[in-house]
Amino acid sequence: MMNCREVTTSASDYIERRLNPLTRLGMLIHLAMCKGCRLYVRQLRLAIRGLRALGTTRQPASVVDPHLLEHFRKANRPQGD
Amino acid sequence: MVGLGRGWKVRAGPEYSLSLGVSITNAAKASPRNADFEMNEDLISRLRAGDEAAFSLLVGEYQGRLVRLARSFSRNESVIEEAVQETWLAVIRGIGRFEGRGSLQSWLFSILVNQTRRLASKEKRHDETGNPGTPNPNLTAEPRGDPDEDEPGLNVRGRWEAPPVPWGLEDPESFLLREETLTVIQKALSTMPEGQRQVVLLCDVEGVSPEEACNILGVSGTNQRVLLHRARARIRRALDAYLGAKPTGESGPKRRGG
Ligand SMILES: [Zn+2]
Repeated sequence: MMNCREVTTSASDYIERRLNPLTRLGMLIHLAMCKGCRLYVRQLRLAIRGLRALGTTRQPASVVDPHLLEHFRKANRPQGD
Repeated sequence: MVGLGRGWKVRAGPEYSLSLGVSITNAAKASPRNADFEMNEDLISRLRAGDEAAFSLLVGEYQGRLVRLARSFSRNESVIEEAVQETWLAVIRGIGRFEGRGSLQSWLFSILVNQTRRLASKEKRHDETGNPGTPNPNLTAEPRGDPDEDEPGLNVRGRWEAPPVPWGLEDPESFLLREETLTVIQKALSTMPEGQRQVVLLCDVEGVSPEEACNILGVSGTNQRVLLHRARARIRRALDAYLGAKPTGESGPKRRGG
């Protein structure tokens, strides 16, 4: 029987379906009986969604370094144009 | 070079288009990546052909993300700046030889990680207190069974003594997108151990696959999984602390009592 510590430790693998079938079953049984762990898994999912949200709301650079563009230009026009 | 098959993706705001000249100027406002487009052969051939608009688009898209990742390896801003600069120069030099078997994104990230590590260890060698060339202990140490990483609400028998309390969010989706929430997450990221931060930035924030993250960072799959979970658990605790500390307010998230 898994205890709550084992369930919390395996929660990410559970969410990503990376547990072997037996451990997954043990997890499901524990979750069916333990409100605290159910809540933990739900909140962990939200944390993951928050992290993803951080990746999708960014500020693209408004100005590209002109020196960098110059390097790009030089690399692509060896003869000078 | 990282060579794992995965679609290459650049997510850009709707104002971007590769076929048009790059209009980076009106992109200063935060733009959600809702208009995902595939970073396909077309972009690579444009870059190889010397298309400045394509290059500017790539830099505009990735500059901030490279800086964010570099900051998880070094606190030295000049190291970070140089590493990002070196990454772009390596891209300019290497794009002709890039085979496109892996994603361009992974290629960028692995160049950055190598450059930042190289420059950071060089910097350390100048510093007498530094331990020259030591790889990040967070990534090399076996991370299992660290009592510091236990959930605080668990008792010695591994059961909840103080089980998680419902967050009582009426609309979790919009809560997660709020500026304040993202700041809480960002703050938690900046204070967690480097190894955890590097893995969670790549895997959850940037959406890199676990296999690619292992290649980029040079960690085992087991360590990647443990570090990723610990990082996420810290984010959960940070959100929990934030929601618990916040009084129920008109615009704030509501938390059910007890
Ligand atoms: Zn439990």
